[in-house]
Amino acid sequence: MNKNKNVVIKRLETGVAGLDNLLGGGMPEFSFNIIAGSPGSGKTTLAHQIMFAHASEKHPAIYFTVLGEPSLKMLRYQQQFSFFDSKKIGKSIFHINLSEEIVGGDFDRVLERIVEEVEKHKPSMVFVDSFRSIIEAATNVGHMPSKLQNFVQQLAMRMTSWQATTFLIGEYQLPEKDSSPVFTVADGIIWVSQQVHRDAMVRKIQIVKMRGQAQSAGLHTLRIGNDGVEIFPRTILPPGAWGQEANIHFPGDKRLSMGVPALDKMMGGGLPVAYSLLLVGPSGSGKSIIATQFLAEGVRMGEPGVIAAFEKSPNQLLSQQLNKLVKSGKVGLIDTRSLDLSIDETLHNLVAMIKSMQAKRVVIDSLSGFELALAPVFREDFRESLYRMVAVLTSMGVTVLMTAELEDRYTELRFSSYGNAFLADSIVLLRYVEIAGEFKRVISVVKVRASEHSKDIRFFTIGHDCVIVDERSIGYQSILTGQPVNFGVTTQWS
Amino acid sequence: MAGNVVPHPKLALSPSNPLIIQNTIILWTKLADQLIPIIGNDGFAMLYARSLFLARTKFEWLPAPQVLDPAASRFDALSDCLRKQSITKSSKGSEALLCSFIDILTLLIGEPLTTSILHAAWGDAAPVILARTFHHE
Repeated sequence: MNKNKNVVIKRLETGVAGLDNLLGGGMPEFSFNIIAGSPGSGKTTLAHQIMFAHASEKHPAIYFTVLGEPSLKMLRYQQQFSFFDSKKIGKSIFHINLSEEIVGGDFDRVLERIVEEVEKHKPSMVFVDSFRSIIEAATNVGHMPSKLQNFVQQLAMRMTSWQATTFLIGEYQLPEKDSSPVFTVADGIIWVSQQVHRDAMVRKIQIVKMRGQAQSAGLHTLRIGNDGVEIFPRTILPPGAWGQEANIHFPGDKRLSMGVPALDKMMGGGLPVAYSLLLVGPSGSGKSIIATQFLAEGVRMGEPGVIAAFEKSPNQLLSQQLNKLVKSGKVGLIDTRSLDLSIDETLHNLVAMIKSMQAKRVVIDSLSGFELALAPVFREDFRESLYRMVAVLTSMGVTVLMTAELEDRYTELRFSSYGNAFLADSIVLLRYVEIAGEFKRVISVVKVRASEHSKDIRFFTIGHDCVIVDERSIGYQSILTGQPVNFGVTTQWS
Repeated sequence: MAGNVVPHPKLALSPSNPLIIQNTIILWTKLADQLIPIIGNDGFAMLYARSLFLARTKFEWLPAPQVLDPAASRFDALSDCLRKQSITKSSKGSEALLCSFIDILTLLIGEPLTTSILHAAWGDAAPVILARTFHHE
């Protein structure tokens, strides 16, 4: 027998990708909610998407329109989204215009009409768009705030008693939400906004309040496409993700080959599983080739991989070898064409592909290109977002290789232009050195967390789809200063 | 008027039908009853005014575009104009006005939604009118 007699609130799926996660499982049934935000932020689209996902002849929905967007235009534009099903209009979805009732600003008349329609159609969901128009009409005829509060409370109680989940949609500015009585009465407040930073615009969503359940805090990226609204929740590592639940192995348990045998040896036996590796070096030093070897070795070992390639457009073949890997279906390629990405959107796509391919290896090539592909507003938080991304990916048990462009400066030793080298569990550094009038490439393993590794600086060359690392140390000192001094060991070059 | 049986539009607006004026008003009233709750009185009035403007290019005797009175007498001007014409002219003018309205509605909100609204207003006769409307284009 179930001793817990507390009421269990059913959570309704919203049909909006990512929103149920934010809400903590869906919209609470019979709740009274506000979808608020600035013009053009996607409020009406979000409301319609929820309505079309939920409405059926058994569970109809009413969409009351007031003085905001004309209904005719709303119906016209909402049809452009794939979720709009005109067969539902008039059968399970009823659009009802309240403009006549609101003209005099008479709350009682508005409430009476809403109740009349609710009694007639018995909807499971009720939408009022724009609720702000009701408030403004009432304010214009001098109604007191107390009357507004009474109206909102009446509406909320009646809708809940009619077992309808209700959404009031309105254009509000942030300061209003603390003073308006509408917000006090609401069980849930969903805030959508658009932010313009330099020339790029991004939309964001925030669950300001959702009674009775643990919603995801903070701002999350929202994108409106042909299928409507898609939300990319700001991924936060769930409690307990580290350790047993994530099934993380520590060095010595299992290592992955880099596809370059000599480099594996330098790293103490390969890259530990679920580690992040920062592969740093100047342009043309071989970062992408080593990254490709890492993926190719994974495919050879039966470990699918995923690459987010920001350096080249998809039309350009990244390399013959990588192109073959992608075409074989063993390596997934993340679409990075958009230049207004957010890290959360990229992470969402990465996680989805990792899960679908059961990938074990991930390459991000490169962090410099990734930063450029982000909308400017997200670049400010790049370091913090990158930290979350690496944490989420490695907690899934995948091993992550990130490349980073680093200009050779012989007067200082740096491992990252972002100051984010500490994010990586291991660092491999590539550099150019000048020996006897020639550029030579050198490689060194700077760090492999909690593991022995070589401290050598070694020459390496790039062959056809391969990287050949010299087995011996280079025989020079002060090489990182740009003024190498031969200390007697001669390296043989083929 | 709203309680009246909706006549089949094809027959209702036929020149051989002596009740053409009455039928026209029934069809318009049913359509308004269905559409005004969705798009509001103003929305309906704008579409109606635009339809009159277009139909008057061929039937100049139709009423001038007007802002509709939300009261029940909203189609009185149309009724008066039809009454002053021969049955043949009334039939053609009435049909042209209705077709203009449906064409605009279809252009704005699409065929499926328009068909759905016409079905709700007129029942099974709606697709006949709609097909004829497209035929005129």
